[in-house]
Amino acid sequence: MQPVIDPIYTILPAAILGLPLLAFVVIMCFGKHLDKRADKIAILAMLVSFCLSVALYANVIADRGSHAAADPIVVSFSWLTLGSMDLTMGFLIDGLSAFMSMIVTGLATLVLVYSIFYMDGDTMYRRYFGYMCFFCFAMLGIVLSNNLLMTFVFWELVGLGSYFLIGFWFYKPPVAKDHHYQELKASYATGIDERLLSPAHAQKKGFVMNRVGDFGFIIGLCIFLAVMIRAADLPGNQQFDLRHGPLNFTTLYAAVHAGVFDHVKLMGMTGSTLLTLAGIFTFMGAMGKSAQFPLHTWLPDAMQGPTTGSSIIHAATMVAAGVYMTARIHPLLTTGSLFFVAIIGGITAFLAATMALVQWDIKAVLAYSTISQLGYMMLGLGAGAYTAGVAHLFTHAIFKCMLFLCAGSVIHACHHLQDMNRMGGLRHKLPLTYIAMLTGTLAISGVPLFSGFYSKDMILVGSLARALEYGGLHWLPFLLGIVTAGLTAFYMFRLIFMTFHGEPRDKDVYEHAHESPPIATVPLMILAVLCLGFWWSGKLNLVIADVPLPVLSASAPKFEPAKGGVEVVRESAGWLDRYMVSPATILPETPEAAVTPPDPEILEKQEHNHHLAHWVAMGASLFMVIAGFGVAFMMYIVRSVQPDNLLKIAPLSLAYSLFSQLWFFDRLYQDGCVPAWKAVNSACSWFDSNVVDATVDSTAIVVRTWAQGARNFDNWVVDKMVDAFGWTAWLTGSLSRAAQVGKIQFYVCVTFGIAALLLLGLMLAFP
Amino acid sequence: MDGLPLLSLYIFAPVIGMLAIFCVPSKRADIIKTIAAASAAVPLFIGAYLFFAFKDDGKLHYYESIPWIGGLNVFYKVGMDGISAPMIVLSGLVGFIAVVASWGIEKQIKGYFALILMLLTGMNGVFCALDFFLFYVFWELMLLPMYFLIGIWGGPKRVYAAIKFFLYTMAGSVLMLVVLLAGWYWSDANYTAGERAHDARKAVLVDYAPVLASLSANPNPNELAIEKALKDARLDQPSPQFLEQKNLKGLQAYIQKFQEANNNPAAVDSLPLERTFDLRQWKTRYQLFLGNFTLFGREFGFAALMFVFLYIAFAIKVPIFPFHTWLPWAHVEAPTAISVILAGILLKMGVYGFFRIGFPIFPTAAVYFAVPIAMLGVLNIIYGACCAMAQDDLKKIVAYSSVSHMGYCMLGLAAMTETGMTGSMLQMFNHGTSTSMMFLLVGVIYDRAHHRDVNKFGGLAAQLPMYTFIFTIALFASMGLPGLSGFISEILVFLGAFNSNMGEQGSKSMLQLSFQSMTIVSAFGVVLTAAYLLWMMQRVFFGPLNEKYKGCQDVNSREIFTLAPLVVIVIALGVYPKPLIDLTQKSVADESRFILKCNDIKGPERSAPVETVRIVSPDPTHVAGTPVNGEAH
Repeated sequence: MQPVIDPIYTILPAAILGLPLLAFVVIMCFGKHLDKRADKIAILAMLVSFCLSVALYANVIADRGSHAAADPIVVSFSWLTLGSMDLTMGFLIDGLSAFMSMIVTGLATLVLVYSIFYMDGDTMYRRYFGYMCFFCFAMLGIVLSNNLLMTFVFWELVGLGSYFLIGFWFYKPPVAKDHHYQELKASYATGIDERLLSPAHAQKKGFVMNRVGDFGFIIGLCIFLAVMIRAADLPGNQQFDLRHGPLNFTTLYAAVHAGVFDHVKLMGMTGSTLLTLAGIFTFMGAMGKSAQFPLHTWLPDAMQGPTTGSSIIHAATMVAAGVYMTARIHPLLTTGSLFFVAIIGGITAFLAATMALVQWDIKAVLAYSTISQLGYMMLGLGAGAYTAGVAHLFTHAIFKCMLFLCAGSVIHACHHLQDMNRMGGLRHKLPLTYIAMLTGTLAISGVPLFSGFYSKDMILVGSLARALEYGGLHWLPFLLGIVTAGLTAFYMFRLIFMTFHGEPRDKDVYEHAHESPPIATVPLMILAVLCLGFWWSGKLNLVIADVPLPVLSASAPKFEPAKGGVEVVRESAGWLDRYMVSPATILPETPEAAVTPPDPEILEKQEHNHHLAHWVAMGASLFMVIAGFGVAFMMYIVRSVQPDNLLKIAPLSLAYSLFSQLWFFDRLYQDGCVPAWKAVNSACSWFDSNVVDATVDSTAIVVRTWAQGARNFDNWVVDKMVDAFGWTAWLTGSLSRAAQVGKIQFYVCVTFGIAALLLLGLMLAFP
Repeated sequence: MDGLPLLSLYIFAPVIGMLAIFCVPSKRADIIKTIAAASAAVPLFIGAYLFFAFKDDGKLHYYESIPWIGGLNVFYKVGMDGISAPMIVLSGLVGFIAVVASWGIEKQIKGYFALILMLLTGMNGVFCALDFFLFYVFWELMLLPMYFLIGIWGGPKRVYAAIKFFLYTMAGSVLMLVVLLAGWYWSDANYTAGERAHDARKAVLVDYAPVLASLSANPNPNELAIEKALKDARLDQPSPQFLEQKNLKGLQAYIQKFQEANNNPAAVDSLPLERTFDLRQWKTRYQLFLGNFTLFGREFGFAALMFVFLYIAFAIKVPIFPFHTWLPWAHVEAPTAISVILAGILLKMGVYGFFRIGFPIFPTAAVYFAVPIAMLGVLNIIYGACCAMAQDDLKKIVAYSSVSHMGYCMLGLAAMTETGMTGSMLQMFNHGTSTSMMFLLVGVIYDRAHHRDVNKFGGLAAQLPMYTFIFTIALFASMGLPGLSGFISEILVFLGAFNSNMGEQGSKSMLQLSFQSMTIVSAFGVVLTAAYLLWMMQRVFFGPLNEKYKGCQDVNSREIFTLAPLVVIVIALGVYPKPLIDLTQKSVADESRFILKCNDIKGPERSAPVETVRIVSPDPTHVAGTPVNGEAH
């Protein structure tokens, strides 16, 4: 039943996945002999992996064309067999996975090259390259995975990779104990407890918060598997054979589409309620990995790792994993769970952007901006704009990777200074870094002709169209998205202006600053070129193929016929719209949908909505970008508005303290949840030793007391009774002994006395 | 190799070593240690051989049966199926590692190694025994050496810990003894007729198959021939009833019945049934404990009472809340190697008891109590993790983590789905390896620092890179990280428990509570586990190096020798768990189906016909014409 698959689709992904792992193993096992040559092994492996990814992508496009998403290539291997069920491992190759593996390996190659410069002289130089390879291996596993369980396996491994990278400098003390602390103090957001903040703390925090998300992921897995197993036993169901991986994405798509959820009852729920629940639980995993509200606080702390590590965490791996997974499960999400995704995304985008507004640490600005942008992606996916969310994942990966590398370059140039208050005017000293960073800023702000504009615009259009159709609370994600667009422009230009423009605020730092060597700037330039909108717009067809206009569809799974998806026809269909399409749009129609063709009136309305959405969203977002830029320009270049003056306005100062306290999330977790939980633990421990164990011990005491009582009874009652016999005998004996004096006169006296008494008695008795 | 007494060798090799040690003067520590290691290596190699050679087909292998106490029908019966296979492998491995890890013992070496070898025999025997009496003997045999090993070679509060351990376990054993005796008395004719009795008689027939085969050549056997045949078949004193037939006619009539039954399946129902301790026989007579008694105006089945007794006996060993408080004491006070055995093997004996005895013999009671069992399992997971997080002693953290991890076993077991029970079995094995590593590693650092207070370390990663590397693997394996062995068992338990419908069985179950909700609560355990383990990791290994440990030595070659096999196993089974699953899956699946069938429950998983009696005689060719236990399937 499985079509014959070109072996190239087994070999290529296996090699793409295997090479970084091989490099990791080689570096870790033979590291001592390699020493500094470890970097070359890592880069070589990653570069070859990248080339293979390119080949894979070209193959998929040539092979499947615009049906890459519809008809993905699935390769499965049995991993373990449980009775009638096989859990498989394997690859799912479509446009998305092939392109994403290009992004991961490509960015990793550039970051590794950059790292030769950045990590130079570190005592654990070799280990760094090993960890990076492992990290990318884990991420590629998620990207190429063909089923939810395998995704979870690599999901955790990505977490492990980030654990190692964040805690790379594990020996560092908490920030507050650092001897530079007084200098650094200003750059830390007051919301973070710097007495705790250290690489070791950050790595633990990251892992544990991710686990909170994973908890949901596990439940999601459980629901999907339970439904599939129960569905397999439905009478007459030959369709979903458990032998071929019940958790395979393609199987799940088809099963959900065929409405198996309607036939299975679990926890008293069925149909779309159950599916919504499954979707939300699974999405919780993505909330952890992609640092979505309320699990976002670990990501800024992750800055404790090397900047290059951060750049890969924030771009192509780790946080991207959550978005990628959400894209993979997108066809399984109902309207309800999509709304949940969109709302979480919107809130995250907005909250993180406000936090980014007030940061002084150049890396922290970027960290919060990452969270915010991830929120955008979720917002897009949640609005049903699959292509938009995925496109933003790609464009963001590239510009955020570059921004971090630029930040690394700036930090390196300023001798590990990260406080923007002491920078300024650096564009003269670091021209190339400046150009790259400016490009990135333009891209992330969504300025036309740069990559971010296209993806962000698509997201906003999608969410506005969603809002127009569904109304009500569905407006919230869109509004949050629009506001965030303005905030993004503001904080990014604030960063640029404070770092590169104006007068140098710290002459000493300025004097010693110097541009990085070509090994660092060349990757920056490559990335900068990729940030141009040219690559991403609809005008460029990466592969020439004559395909009809594809559709961008926001959709709930089709078996929920109440409200169909928004069918949005894009005029400028580029390669993104062709190859990065949600499989849901291509699944065969359900009988109901075929029987009742959509109402032409509704279709017309949707068309109208979309046209409206397109122009309104673009206009609004452009306006917000200009406004954000303008405010930043006024505040930091023209200086007609002094930030200090603004703080005198009560609402603004209130907002400022709220933002700089990070909306009290870190405080809440660190000073609220953690102590509360520790109290619970102590209570458990107390209960354990003073109630449970004490009960056991008191049983022993009771038994012992009883035993002592028995002993006493034995000694004082039973034994005394026995003794009493002896005593009686002794008493009798001693009394009678007293009589045995041995004098004949005495005996005679006694005899006569008794005889006399007897006589007397007889006489008295018988008178 | 089915003919070799492989399992007897596996069980008794250590005790032979013990006897040899008695002959060595106590000054020659080197010889004593060599003998100990050599005799502990025998079970290790047998276990390793079985790991590669054995593939579970749901039947018994390496079966040995020798009459032991004739009057009571007690047999020395050992055998191996998928339920015991992982435990046999684990016990051989951990036993050997514990002996090697004891190299550093300096006090009364002779006594120590003699006792530890006796301990190995006890625990190996428990996992092989198929006769309840034998099981009980081995179970008790473990207690004594353990008591002395903790009480003499332990930490400062060793005597308290040893007595607590001993008495607590004894209390459980007494309850088990009650079940043992009750089962024996009721195992003759007090169960209903019908299909179960039929199956039971068929099982007896299989035991007699060799006798019939050897007598088939002789149409009219005399007393001598019959006795010889019985002796050859190691059945010379099969039962009290049989002994009464001590005349030729009676013996002939007795054998006649078997021959008839062998030739004519309809005559099976006239076979005599005798009192027995054979666990497989008990399983086929699963309505052993019929009848009711009244307590507080409510009627209870004896089966439920007996199950509760057995549950408490095993729960103390597992240990299940609230019977767990001996564990932190025993683990903390015991010397390193003994902690390894305690956590690696001893705790598994409890869960194994459920697999081997509790569930198959009391299938209805097991279903009746499934929800409470699972609830206590969930409580173990969460409560154990909470307690672990509050500890500062490394050993106590690991001890409470065991409490937490054994909760997964109980949850998976109570789910009664194939997936869940397989997960439970795997969790036993994987916890055995990962927690052994943890205790060995704690022992390593204790040898160097002479304390175990988490807060007094710091930054050791810089000083002890190899140690940190191995510790990280042990820790993440314990946490259930994919790629390491703990993951697959944990996820199977979750998947299996979530899929269970044991909570919705109406009057068949005591409480109605969906397993889904319990799984959701227990899944929160993954967060807690990560939290306490990583917090411990941070406090011990990360941050600036504590100056006190600047000159601290990294793991030496002997310690690596004990740890390396575990590292390899943890990684190999994490990446490719199939060999371990193949070792156990079929039997576990059969058990799950058996329980469901006994209760007339349709499980959520795709059902297949149940194999009711699953016994393979030493040589199946002897069983001419006997319907061997569901071969038809």
